[in-house]
Amino acid sequence: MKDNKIIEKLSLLKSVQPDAETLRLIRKRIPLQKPSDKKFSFYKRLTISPLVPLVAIACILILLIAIANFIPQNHYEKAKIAVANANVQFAAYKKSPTNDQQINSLSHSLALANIQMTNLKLVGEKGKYTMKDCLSLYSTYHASLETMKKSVSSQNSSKEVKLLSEIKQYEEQSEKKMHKYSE
Amino acid sequence: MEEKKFSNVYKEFSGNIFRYIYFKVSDYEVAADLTADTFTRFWKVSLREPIENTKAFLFSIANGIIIDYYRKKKKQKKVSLDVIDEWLLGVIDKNEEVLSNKQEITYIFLKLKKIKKPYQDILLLYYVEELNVDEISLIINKTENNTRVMLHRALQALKKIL
Repeated sequence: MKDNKIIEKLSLLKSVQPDAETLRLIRKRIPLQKPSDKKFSFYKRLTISPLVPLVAIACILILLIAIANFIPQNHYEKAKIAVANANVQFAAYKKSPTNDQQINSLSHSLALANIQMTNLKLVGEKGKYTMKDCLSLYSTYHASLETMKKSVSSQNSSKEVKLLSEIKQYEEQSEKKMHKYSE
Repeated sequence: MEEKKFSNVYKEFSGNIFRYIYFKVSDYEVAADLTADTFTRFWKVSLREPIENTKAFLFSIANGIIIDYYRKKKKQKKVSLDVIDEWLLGVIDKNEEVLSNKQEITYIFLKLKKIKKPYQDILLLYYVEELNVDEISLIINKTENNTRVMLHRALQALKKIL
């Protein structure tokens, strides 16, 4: 059979056409839904795009790292800052020893310094601070307490009396801990 | 794409798409389902991006849908395609112009089923659906030269068994 004849036979298949009713029924099965124009809520965005939660988590991590950099990393750092703060408050107290507010501030800063110093481990913490660092800080703290004890008068007011007893108490505690180094 | 424009596309090409799918699957119900699927997919794509060659794109979607259908069907029972579906006989019987060629149509249809599937596709697309070589090459994902060679071989393959 010649090619032309075959092509002619194939062309006969063109005459096979579905009727209008068939096409109408098929058309009914096609759902023409447009995507919703409503704005997505934040939660929906999170669930739809896999990138959004990843970006959100990355942002939170970066934020946490940034915050962590401003926060002292260990007890030693915290104690150092607390002792320095107590010394600053003491300097302020010396300028106006009769001011009740200054006495209160010094009392609070000393209490905080004492807590932080008590949390220090004498043997140090691996990767954070050594025994030598700890001892040096305790010496500074103890020396500061001794200076404060000499400067605070016990005759001016009841607040000062209370402050002096606190200083003495802290000094005793630091002395006890310092003794452990020599043992 | 707007619904009105889609309706015009459907009006223009639904008959061709249905016929092409029907010749491939030989089942009226399946052909109707797959035609609906083809236009549904076309509608979804048209909402996202502009379509350059609507006709070629529709046949390309139809081809993909037919492949998916056979892939699923392979896992199920096998059905012989060497039968003429009642719908086709009904269409021929209803149409007086076609009725005189009834024997020839059924004969060529059954013979076409005997050659390789890619050859069936290319003959149907070129001689029945009247797509050009350029469009067919896009649909079957081959170069224009390869498409021409394939078309020639397909015709020879059909010639051999006629």
